[in-house]
Amino acid sequence: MKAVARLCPGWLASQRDDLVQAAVMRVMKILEQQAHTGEGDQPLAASYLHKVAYSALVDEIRRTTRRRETDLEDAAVEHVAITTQDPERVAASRQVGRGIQDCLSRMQRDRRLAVTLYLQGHTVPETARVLEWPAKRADNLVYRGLADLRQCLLAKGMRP
Amino acid sequence: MTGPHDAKTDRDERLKSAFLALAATSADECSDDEIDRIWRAASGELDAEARRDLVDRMAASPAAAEAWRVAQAMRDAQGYPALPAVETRHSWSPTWIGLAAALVLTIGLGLFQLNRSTTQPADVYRDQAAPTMVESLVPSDSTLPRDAFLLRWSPGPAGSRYQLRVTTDDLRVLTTVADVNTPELTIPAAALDSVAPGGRVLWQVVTTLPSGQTVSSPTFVVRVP
Repeated sequence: MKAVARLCPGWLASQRDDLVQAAVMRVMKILEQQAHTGEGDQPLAASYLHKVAYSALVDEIRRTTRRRETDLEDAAVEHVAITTQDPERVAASRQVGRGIQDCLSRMQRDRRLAVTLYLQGHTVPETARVLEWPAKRADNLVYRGLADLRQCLLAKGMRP
Repeated sequence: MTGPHDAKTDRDERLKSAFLALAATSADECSDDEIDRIWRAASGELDAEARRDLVDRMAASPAAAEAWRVAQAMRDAQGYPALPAVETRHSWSPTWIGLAAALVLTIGLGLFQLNRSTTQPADVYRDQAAPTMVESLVPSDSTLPRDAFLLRWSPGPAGSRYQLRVTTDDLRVLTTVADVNTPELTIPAAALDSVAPGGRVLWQVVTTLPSGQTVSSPTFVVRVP
């Protein structure tokens, strides 16, 4: 399971051990099930292992998020103490995030798709590949979509 | 001093940060089916319309957006090939198509009258741009001798270049060879030293067509004796 550790994205480094552990447990469970059904001799395909690791990571991240929400409800003061960011900035960012969601929901679909991938950190060529559009079309839609988004946020009184 | 371009970049980065941060506070959830579909979409297993539907879902669901980022990060970390690019196509309005057709017809008839012997444009460009399916020419799960570990695959159009990635079953990279100009490659026996007898070797080819478009093969399996 060294592969799982290698796959674990850098931005989750602080929880890497827990996440790897969860992925290992998941794979072990599958191996056990295979042994019970007499399929234990079949080697697991690499692509399958990746998928299992991915599912475990997503589950763990969501679990961590839920745990943090509960912590926040139970002990808001402690959270403030451990956070390194300015609480006002965090609140403003959340507000802008919700504004972005609302503006996206009002946007023309193709522009929304292009801007969503842009906000996810994809480049224009990547966006074009994912949506199966020519690069020029993806570029136009990102440009127009971002203009729509900024205008919509401004109308809400937000200037990110 | 910050220029207008820097200011725009900063603004975009703040938009991205705000969008990504939604996942940390959102209570929405992804179903197992959705998580599975996101992985398959990132892998290129779903068609374009299904991928677009998922991206649409991400706009409203921070959990789905986060699952997509995890899938992408994992695929990037593991060096999976990118989805193939789409060729440039022009979507013209019917009016423009009509005008263009009339213009082409007029010019075409004129040229035809002037010179009946005009050479027809070669079809090679269209052939090169056609989608190419890469297939293994080595029987699946067959055993190849260690000292003649020849991997062969269906060739792309003339001028295609190939990248080959060979790994073990547990994802250890045995070799990666780029810029191969023939549709076959012999893997040196030394590269297979760490593979146990009977062990499976996975290999995949990424073909770069003369147009620059890349086409990835499925993952093929062979064994070492």
